[in-house]
Amino acid sequence: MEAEKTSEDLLVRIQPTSGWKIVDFKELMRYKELIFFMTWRDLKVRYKQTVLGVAWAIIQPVMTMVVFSVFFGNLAKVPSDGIPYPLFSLAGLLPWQLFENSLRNASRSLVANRNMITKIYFPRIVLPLSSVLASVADFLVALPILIVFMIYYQYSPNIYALLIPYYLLLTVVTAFGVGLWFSALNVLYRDIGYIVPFVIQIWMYLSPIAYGSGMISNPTLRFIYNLNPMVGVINGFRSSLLGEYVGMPIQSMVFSALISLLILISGLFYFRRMERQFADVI
Amino acid sequence: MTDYAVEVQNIGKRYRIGAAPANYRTFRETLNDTFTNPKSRLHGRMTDRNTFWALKDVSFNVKQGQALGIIGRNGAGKSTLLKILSRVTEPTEGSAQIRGRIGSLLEVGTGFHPELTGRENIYLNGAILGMKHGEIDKKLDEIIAFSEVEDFVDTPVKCWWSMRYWLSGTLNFSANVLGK
Repeated sequence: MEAEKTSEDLLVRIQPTSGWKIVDFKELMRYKELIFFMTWRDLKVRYKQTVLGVAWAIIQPVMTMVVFSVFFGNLAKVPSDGIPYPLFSLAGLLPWQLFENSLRNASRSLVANRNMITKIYFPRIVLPLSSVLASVADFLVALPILIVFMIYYQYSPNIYALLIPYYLLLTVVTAFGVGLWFSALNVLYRDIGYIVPFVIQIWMYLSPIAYGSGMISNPTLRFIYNLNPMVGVINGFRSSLLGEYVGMPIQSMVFSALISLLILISGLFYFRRMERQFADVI
Repeated sequence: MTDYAVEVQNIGKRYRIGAAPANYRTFRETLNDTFTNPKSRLHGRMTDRNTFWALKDVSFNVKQGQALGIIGRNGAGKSTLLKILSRVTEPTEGSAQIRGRIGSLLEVGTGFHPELTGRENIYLNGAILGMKHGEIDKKLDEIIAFSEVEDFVDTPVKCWWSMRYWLSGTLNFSANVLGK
């Protein structure tokens, strides 16, 4: 029936795993079709039976921008590094919402697809991975609106905009890492479903989205503040698009990248450890 | 090389029973336990008292082209065995080797999403079964014709939900090894 298959492709070995390998890339490659289709399904289903459809990917950050501009910008007069507040907050909100959506969707991906987990085999990591990828697609849909606002306010990017892919990668890596922890924990403890919104909210206030990070002047506090990988990401993203580039101290950049990496690796490891019992306890 | 399609050696599966299965414990209890009794791991030690063996020492071979029926009462372990062979859950001990693609009817309609059309669901389920995009393309017409739902194949499945089992059953015929 499957003449084109190699024998290696067809041989399956089943035994208790002792598991020290973090990710089985070879196997993941074999399931790339599934990663693609799960991402595509997430995107396809997300805006089904909505009137505005994919426009929601743009409306959400813009609405939040309006709310922030009214309350933080106009009423509270939060300093925004000399940039018009709407533009300032939108440039922070876009990478932030990429992070937030990736984290939120990844965290619930396992429990939401429990019927698949209890009935079929596939590398479980496909689920959080494809929800992160779907969030990236949403981000790309929303990105042009920032360009529109930049044109309107007459701002142009500087040479550091070349670093944007790096910032986005760091965002996705951090969100995926935390998402791995939360999704696996969520299988065992549904408490996680209640914790995630708070974590996201607190994390947002700990990142320079509604305010400029210049507000934190105490050097010790500032050092701790900079350990949050999203601080570097949002500052870097915003300042490379809107005028003068405010680089982070190199030390903080290295630290926050290391922290993201640590979150990712520990997340992969924990996920791998728990994976084998997902079907039994979900 | 043997021509066995399925080789099962001394497979055993131990489940936890009785009080405090992992998902009924709170996070706090577990945190406490982790510190006061570090050996107990996330959800307590497995002892003879709180566990039972759903399967123990199961061994058999199935040749290519051979059909094997497994009969047993409720709770005999038929589904557990099928779950292990389809890799949904891991055996506690023992090992097995399978040549061919595993398709289990446990999974009927699993990946179906009510908002997607029949055609979209075929692709999604094909991917879940491990089929390649091209492979599904080749078999698409065959699958649609065989399932006799040509008329609604481009309508969201939620509108003809009760028929989805039929369609996914058809899909499974492209799998080599069938269960249940």
